[in-house]
Amino acid sequence: MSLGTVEPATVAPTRRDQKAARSNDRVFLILARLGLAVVLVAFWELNSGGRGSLLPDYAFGTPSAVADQFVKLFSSGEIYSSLWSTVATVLYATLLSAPVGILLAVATSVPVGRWLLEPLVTITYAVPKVGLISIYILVLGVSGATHIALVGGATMFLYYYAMRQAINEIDRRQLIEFRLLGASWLKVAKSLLLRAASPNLIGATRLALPLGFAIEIFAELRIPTSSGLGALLEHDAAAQNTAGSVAVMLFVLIIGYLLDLALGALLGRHAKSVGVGAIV
Amino acid sequence: MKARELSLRTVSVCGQWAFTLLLIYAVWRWLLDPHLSPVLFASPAKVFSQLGTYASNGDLWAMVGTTLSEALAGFAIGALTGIIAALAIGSMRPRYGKVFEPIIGGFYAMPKFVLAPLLFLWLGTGFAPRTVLVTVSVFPLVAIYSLTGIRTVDADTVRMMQLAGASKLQIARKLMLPHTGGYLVISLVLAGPHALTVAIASEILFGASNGIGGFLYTSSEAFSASGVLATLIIGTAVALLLFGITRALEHRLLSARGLGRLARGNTAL
Amino acid sequence: MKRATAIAGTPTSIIPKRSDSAALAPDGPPSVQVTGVNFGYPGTDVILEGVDLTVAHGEILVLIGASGCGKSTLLNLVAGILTPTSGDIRSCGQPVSGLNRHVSYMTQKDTLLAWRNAVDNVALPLEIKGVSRRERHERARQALARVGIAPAAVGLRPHQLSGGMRSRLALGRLLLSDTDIILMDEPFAAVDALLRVRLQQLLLDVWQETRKTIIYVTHDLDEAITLGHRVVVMNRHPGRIAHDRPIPFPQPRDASRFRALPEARDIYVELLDALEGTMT
Repeated sequence: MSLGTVEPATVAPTRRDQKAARSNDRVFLILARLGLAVVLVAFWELNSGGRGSLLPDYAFGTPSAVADQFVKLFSSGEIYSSLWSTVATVLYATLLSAPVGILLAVATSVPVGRWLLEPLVTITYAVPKVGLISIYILVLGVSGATHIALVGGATMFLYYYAMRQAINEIDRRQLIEFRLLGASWLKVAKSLLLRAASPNLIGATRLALPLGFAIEIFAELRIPTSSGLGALLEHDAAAQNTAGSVAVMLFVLIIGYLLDLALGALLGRHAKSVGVGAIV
Repeated sequence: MKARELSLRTVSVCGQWAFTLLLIYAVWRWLLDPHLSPVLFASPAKVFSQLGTYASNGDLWAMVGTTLSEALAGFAIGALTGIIAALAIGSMRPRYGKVFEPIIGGFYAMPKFVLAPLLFLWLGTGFAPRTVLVTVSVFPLVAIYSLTGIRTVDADTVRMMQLAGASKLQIARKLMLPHTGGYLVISLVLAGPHALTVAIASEILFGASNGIGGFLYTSSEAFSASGVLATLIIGTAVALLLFGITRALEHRLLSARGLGRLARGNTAL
Repeated sequence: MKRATAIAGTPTSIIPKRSDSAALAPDGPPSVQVTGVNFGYPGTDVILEGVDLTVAHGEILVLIGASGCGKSTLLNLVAGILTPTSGDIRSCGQPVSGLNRHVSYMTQKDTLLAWRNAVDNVALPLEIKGVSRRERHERARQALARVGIAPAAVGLRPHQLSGGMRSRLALGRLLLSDTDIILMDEPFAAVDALLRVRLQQLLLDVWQETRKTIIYVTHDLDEAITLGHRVVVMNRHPGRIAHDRPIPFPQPRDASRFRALPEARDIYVELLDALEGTMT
């Protein structure tokens, strides 16, 4: 609701009306957003130019030049391999780090484990993990492993906290009932824990992939001889190709947005919020 | 009885941390340092002496000051713009407000570092571009949370106040503001540590020579393992301090409403 | 037999005494007058059709009916939150247009402000009117005492109070808003049965002191009979008045014991038949 106005208490209208109303709204929304986009691009186009204009082209590029570069990216096929490189790294890193985070969470949920490990977890969480990049390079070299280590280091904690939250929220009564029925701890883990944890873990994944994406871009920008979208961006920037940089940037923006949208659509229903805000 | 519990707990916590720190030191001194190349690692002794150097020649305070000021400036600007954006969109009817929401969503979903090359072009590598990155990271958090706060104001409660004769201004001040304020606090608590990590990351990215990230960068370029490790310790300490402060703030500000602990482990950088 | 002793030792207020509920109404326009009201959202089925209802000053009218019969909608119409498609609604002699300032509304969901303590919550109507801080706190404390909230609890926030106490708080706020008409939509439904009876008694005691007009919606037949000077059963699809039953026993009654009287049981059965009739 908007500030100061109140919509009347609603009674469920008929199904047909609901559907009609929703698709009407949706059409309006799409048209309005498209209109907004057009206005913004027009503003950009009108204000770009040489020095002295509001959005000089050495800094921003012109829409036409950027569009040109965009097309070139796709026609040369560069974009696909870069995209795949980035995405694959993020996926590997997430896949590898998730079990670590989960196991760590299980370990710290036992009193002994918690006493031993919790400060360690807090400390490693507080370490500025991007700062470890130089150490990773020295240990793992300038390779995919470094990227995975960097990304995984961050995503692991998302899974850790998600799992901790899930364990905390386990219904004690259900647990007791299960055990009274004679279930072994393994059975309990399988039926109760996993089932309870999956919404949290899915929520963590929803945050982890975009976060990993962001850190991966960071890594590609920072580490020479990387491949991927960040590397692409770096090349264009180094070559003073502003329009190209902007094109890659827009592409990454779109991908990031679509990724978030897709994750929301696919996982939203099943996910439990672990909280917002890990996106860099 | 409660006091006894409390002191037992304190002892346990102190014991935990003492144990952990000793363990780290032991592993460091006797496991890692002897076996890893001096390029990669330095002994505790060297690192502590490096820390001492930083402290005595003022570098420590300078780097912490730089990073914190970037984080703070970006945080302030991001929070302010976030609130304004949320108010602007929230005061439109939802139908129109939704048109503009993707702008905020775009900032949220965008991997912020992607702006770095362009920021470098526009602003160089100094304070400004790093602050911009922090701002861009904080803005969507605050905006989304504040917007959610505005949108979730209970319609029945608004009606109750209207029936009691409240003017729009009264409703805004007595209902909307405090309600949204709760969400705002949550977003600020989340955004705080986030701002710090983005500040450090952008210093590294821009190859700065000041700030915590800057020292990390220059130390690694100079292959000074003691520098890297010392700076990491400083960075960790600052982060821990910040987390402690935000956690305490969160507890105080939110427990008043029974909202409890909401911001858990969400800034995984 | 239990019933006999109960009657023998009862205070005079529930000794069966026939009286005319019309004697409640002083001269002057009725408190609420609903004439020929129809209501429905465009494109949906009609919710209320041809509803005629008159509520006298100081009368407690209970609306009861199956879900979807429009009783809440009727309250919303009287409150001015909704506007009838056709027909006339008057309160205190004046037509209802826009939000009806003669009316206070209490629902099952408490609309307390989470960040304010009990005193500040209860004092809200006075605060809106601009009453000075000292005076409104004074009156708030009195109201809180009146509704049975201990002085020790007045500094607590809603989340620290039990459901029953929050209901009392809401009632206290109603007291201070001091409108002629009070609308209540299942206000005590979320509270356990024993507590509910106590809250009903509180309501009746408060009514006795203030003689407000109350329109009360409920699902609970016992509650309806206990509280109402009159019980109106509503039909549904479309909503209209099906049965109007005065309860010829003066208020305040004994909220816990009135329902045990044989006359009350007879009325119960009568209303039950009427209700079941509406549900076919």
